[in-house]
Amino acid sequence: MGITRRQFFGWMGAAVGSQAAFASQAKAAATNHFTGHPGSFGVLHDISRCIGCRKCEAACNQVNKLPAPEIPFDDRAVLGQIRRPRAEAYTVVNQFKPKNKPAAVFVKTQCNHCLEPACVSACFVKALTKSKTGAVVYDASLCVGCRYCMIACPFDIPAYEYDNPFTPEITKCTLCQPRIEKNQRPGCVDACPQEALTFGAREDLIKIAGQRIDKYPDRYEKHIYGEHEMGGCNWLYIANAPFTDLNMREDLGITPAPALTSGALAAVPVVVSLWVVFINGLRAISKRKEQIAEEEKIQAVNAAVETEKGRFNLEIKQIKEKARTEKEAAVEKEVKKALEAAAQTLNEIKPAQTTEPVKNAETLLPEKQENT
Amino acid sequence: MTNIVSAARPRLIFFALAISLCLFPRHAAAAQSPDMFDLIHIRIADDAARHEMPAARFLHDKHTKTLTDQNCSACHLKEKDRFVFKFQRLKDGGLDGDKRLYHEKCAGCHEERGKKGLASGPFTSECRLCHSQTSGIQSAAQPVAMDKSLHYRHEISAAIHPEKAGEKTNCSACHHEYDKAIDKTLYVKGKESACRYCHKAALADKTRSFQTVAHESCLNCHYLLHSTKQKAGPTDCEACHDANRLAGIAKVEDAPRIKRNQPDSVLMSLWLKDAQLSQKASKKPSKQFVNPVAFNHKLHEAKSEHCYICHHASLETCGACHTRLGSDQSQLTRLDQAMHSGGNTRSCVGCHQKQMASKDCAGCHSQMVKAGFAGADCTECHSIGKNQIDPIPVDKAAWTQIAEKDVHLRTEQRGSGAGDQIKTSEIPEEVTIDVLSDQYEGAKFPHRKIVTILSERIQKNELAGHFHDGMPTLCNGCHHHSLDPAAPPKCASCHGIAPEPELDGRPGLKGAYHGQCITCHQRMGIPTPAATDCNACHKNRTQSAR
Amino acid sequence: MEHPAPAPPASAIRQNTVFTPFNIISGTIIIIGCVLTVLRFTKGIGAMTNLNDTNPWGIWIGFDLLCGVALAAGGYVTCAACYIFGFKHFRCAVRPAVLTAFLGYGLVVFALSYDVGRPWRLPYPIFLSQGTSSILFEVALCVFLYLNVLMLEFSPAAFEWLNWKYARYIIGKVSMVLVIFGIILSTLHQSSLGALFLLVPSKVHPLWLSGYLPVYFFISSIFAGMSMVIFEHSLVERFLHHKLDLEHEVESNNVAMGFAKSAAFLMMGYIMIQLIGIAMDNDWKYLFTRWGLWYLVEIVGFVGLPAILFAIGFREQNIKLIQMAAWWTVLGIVLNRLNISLIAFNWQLPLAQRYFPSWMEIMTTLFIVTIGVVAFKIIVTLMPVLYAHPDFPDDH
Repeated sequence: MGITRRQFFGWMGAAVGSQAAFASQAKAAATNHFTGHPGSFGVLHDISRCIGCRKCEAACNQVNKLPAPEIPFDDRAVLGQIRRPRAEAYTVVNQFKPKNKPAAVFVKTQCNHCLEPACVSACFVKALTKSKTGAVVYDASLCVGCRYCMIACPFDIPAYEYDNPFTPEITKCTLCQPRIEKNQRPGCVDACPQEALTFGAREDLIKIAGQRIDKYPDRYEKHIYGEHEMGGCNWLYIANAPFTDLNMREDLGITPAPALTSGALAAVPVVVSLWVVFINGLRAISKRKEQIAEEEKIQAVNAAVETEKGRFNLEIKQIKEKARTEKEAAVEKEVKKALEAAAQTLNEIKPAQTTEPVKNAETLLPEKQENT
Repeated sequence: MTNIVSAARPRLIFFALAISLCLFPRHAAAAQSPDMFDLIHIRIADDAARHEMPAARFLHDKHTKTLTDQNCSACHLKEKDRFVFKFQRLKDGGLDGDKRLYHEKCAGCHEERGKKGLASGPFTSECRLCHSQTSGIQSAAQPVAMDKSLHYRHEISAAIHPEKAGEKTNCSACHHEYDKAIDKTLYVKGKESACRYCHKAALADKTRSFQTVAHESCLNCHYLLHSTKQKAGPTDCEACHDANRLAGIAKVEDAPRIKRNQPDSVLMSLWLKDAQLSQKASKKPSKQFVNPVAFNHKLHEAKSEHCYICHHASLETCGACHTRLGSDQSQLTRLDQAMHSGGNTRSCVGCHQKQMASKDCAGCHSQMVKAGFAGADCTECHSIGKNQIDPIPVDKAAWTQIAEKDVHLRTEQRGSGAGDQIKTSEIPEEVTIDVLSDQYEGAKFPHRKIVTILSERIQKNELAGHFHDGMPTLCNGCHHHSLDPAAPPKCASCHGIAPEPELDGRPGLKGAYHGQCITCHQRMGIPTPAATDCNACHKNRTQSAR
Repeated sequence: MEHPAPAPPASAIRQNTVFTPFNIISGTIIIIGCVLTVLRFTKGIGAMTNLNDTNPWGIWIGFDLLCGVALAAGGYVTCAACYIFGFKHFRCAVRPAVLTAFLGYGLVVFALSYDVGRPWRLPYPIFLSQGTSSILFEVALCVFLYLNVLMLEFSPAAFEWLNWKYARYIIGKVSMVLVIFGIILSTLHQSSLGALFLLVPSKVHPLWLSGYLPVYFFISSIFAGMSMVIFEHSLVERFLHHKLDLEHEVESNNVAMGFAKSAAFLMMGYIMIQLIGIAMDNDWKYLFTRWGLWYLVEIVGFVGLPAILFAIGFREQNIKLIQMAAWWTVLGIVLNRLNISLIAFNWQLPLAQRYFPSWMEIMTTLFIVTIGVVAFKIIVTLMPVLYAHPDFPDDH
């Protein structure tokens, strides 16, 4: 069946309409370089100052009203194993013994509050959002529990309440957003005796970190971790050991996570539009080919029928001709025979009258006779 | 139809076999210990840079210990009774020739052993097992240096004979100079110096590389002695290149000074000599140039393991290459850079800074920002006043005397406690820090005890004693940026209680207290009180007043 | 005296139509599955899975979602072949394929309700708060729409069974739009499932990770669908033969042949673009590692080999070979999806931190698959899927 004009417009409308619905996704993050909301806050973690006392963990637990841990926070034996943030622990301190370093190095791990977070990009219900204060905030009222944010996070930070059957939540450091809004510092920053955590505007923290590295070049690695990693984070680190020895990956690159999938998302409306064209086109092509095949078939059949007819008629004519001539010949033959028979009979009847044979049988034909 | 299915089955089996064969390579990556001391990278020199493969990695001890039982002749040829430590040849044969040699001899031996079913190295076909950049082996080989103790043991060894019999010392056994005129090496008494002055890292012209000469000289002698059953140094890689084994070599404490006519005190100055030589009538020292330095050479010699640390290119004066503007020989390193460069232990300042990182000093010094020229007091070293060299002395002896006098004076001053002192009774015995008391009681800090201990440790150290003239310098270690270290202001004067991040790097009060104390303990290696033992410094507060 | 009626043959008494082996096995699985369902919704995910914070996705996503969607691609592929490319003789393959796809997607959503923390909130991303920066949103939206499309595409069979003539007529009018919409939606979500992993290049092994992942997923879904159609038909032929009508029986072989030929081409093309992906990122060195070997096993053994078998089977017109190649391809697709989501995911972590499914997860997956099979069997038995309804002879 062919495409009617109405159907065509219907499909075009659908294509345009769907494109409009998806158009908002086409804003690729690739050409924008987001350097953070101005004045957004961050924390600088000076790893060389950390002594692994775990007071930050205790403060976080208290401020967020988390359940009391199995092993108390002043137990330092837990540092023997590398831990990661989990459902009841938004932050952990780990101990590392890098090569060529006489003393152990301690690192506090928590959400890095990236400038362009992978988790925010991944969340399909906008349960995770980046706020202007710099914190990446989680809204438990929207979360479906798909855990794509956990997959997406390059630092493996978000944890999940797997043992909660009805109201499981994603858990991670909140940058103490409620405290920040009251002009207080995050709980961990306040608790640290060594001021290994410094809270302030991100731009200031980068300056401070750079200054410390310059002032003590023998102490620090010449790299501010979090300045550019994954597009930059609001949580920055400077360390007195190579970051790769501290379980901090340096192969993450500087591309922000949303830029990794913006290309694929941008392709969606294009696919929708072009596929409508291609599919209809293919259909139209195959229909047209069928149609042409059909027409050619009909033509061929007709042509065949015509030639057959012509030949048939010719044959009939020939047969008729032949029949006619045959008939005439037969008629002639019969007439001749009949006449000869009549003549014969006449000869037999009139031998007394004349001895002359009847030459002409025709003269024997009954004529108008005067006497009987 | 079914015959095709059965034909497909062999195909499947073939694929399965092919895949499974790949699963079991002949050489599973052996679990090597990652740090090896005998790793040699074999790379044939080729000017045309036609290399197609990375360098081959060869473990020397692995071969000598298991196969040849430390017998060098298994792989090395002799020239004039000395082994040439090239592989199976006396001269290099170019890229193609040597490549063939290595492949035939190395892989050939492997293949022979492989045929006999013995464990062997890779075959010629397994290129990447030798020519590998990513195998887990890492070289932890430390360079070997002839320190004073080792040198002395060689000096007094009866097994080492001088070149010509009858010489009093056996220096000529190792030391020689190259005479270009006759194209030979000769021993010149009084000119003994380090091998590295001529034998550099790479082969240059006819001068063999340091690695080549070190091995050929040392190992040949050791090997010869071993073969005559005499006690000698080792011939395997690990014994010299493993830092642990190196540390285990018997040390002669207080080895006598090497006799090389070296001075005890030196008057160091570049311009003074020029001034002395110039024909100008006035011999007054110029006001344009810095004061000379009286350098205590004897003390520094005693503190260094070998001359090479400072005399890194020759035993001439520094100024011969390190001129005021730098020269080609010094790679344009100027004299002031050579003397004052921060990061380099060859320079005076650099070596001093390295000393400041030692445990005795690091408590304070690691927390101080590295000072540049701006904050320095140059007269600490440039102590020879112009009046002492007015007029400029003519002969060298006079210069040495001036230097010696100054050095002598300083040495005496160091022990005597000159400079500002603070009476012990004036130092507070105990200080209670309770400004920030919240969860804990105030910290009771044994102030006098700490100052006394630090002061004693400094006295023992000549460097500290020189630069810390008097107690107030010590006070500055903690009471930094104080106008009067003897009467320092409260820490809270500059360190706020509720800190905003200071762009000048000032921590808040809590961070300042903890950072100061804890960092000092950490750097000085003081185990107690542990940084995380909060109660050791301040007890828990039983009733917290919030 | 009359003889008593002859006793029915012994076999007729023994033959029990309720407790067939199929029913026993599937029934057991379903009962266990119900128990597990109760466990899931009373004790939470942690009580029955080996999922943890470092491995948040397990086989419920890796197999149920990813493989389920890939293998349900037969629906749109067959529709495209029949209605867009004009291969009319494929029409008898359309309904079973659409049914498989519909059940497949339905079960994907069903499986999601186990995996997701709050399944009652699954409509949120579509109706309440659209996270449009997320590829997963795009997947969710497309799957939601496609499920509806499939339901509508399958409804003719249901309407015929219910004899709702007018409904059947209306649906017939819009079927072409549904087909086109279905193909578009399928392209989008098949490729987006691959794009999900573009967000985590640091966690997927370089050999499997490529900027072309969406293309790989899309192309592989096409031949996965084709193989599933062939595979399914081989099962139907064996177990549900009595439901097939003559046309279906005869044409299915031609369908298999046609799909075999296309699949062979597609799989060769797929291998080509995989190689291009490796060249693009200069990942050749990884091929010489253990992971490289595993990758080659997947590409050569589970894509290359069946491609060759398809080609040979087509040339020799050997249906058995084609069917073998088909289920081998299905295994290959499962392997590919499991590789990307589970095996080559978090590949750098030490073995102690890697994930392996618990028996309860596996059982739940089995339960979901069994529901699908049982539903398929019931629907095929009742509705005109494998045969043409006598009242609607030409409306397929």
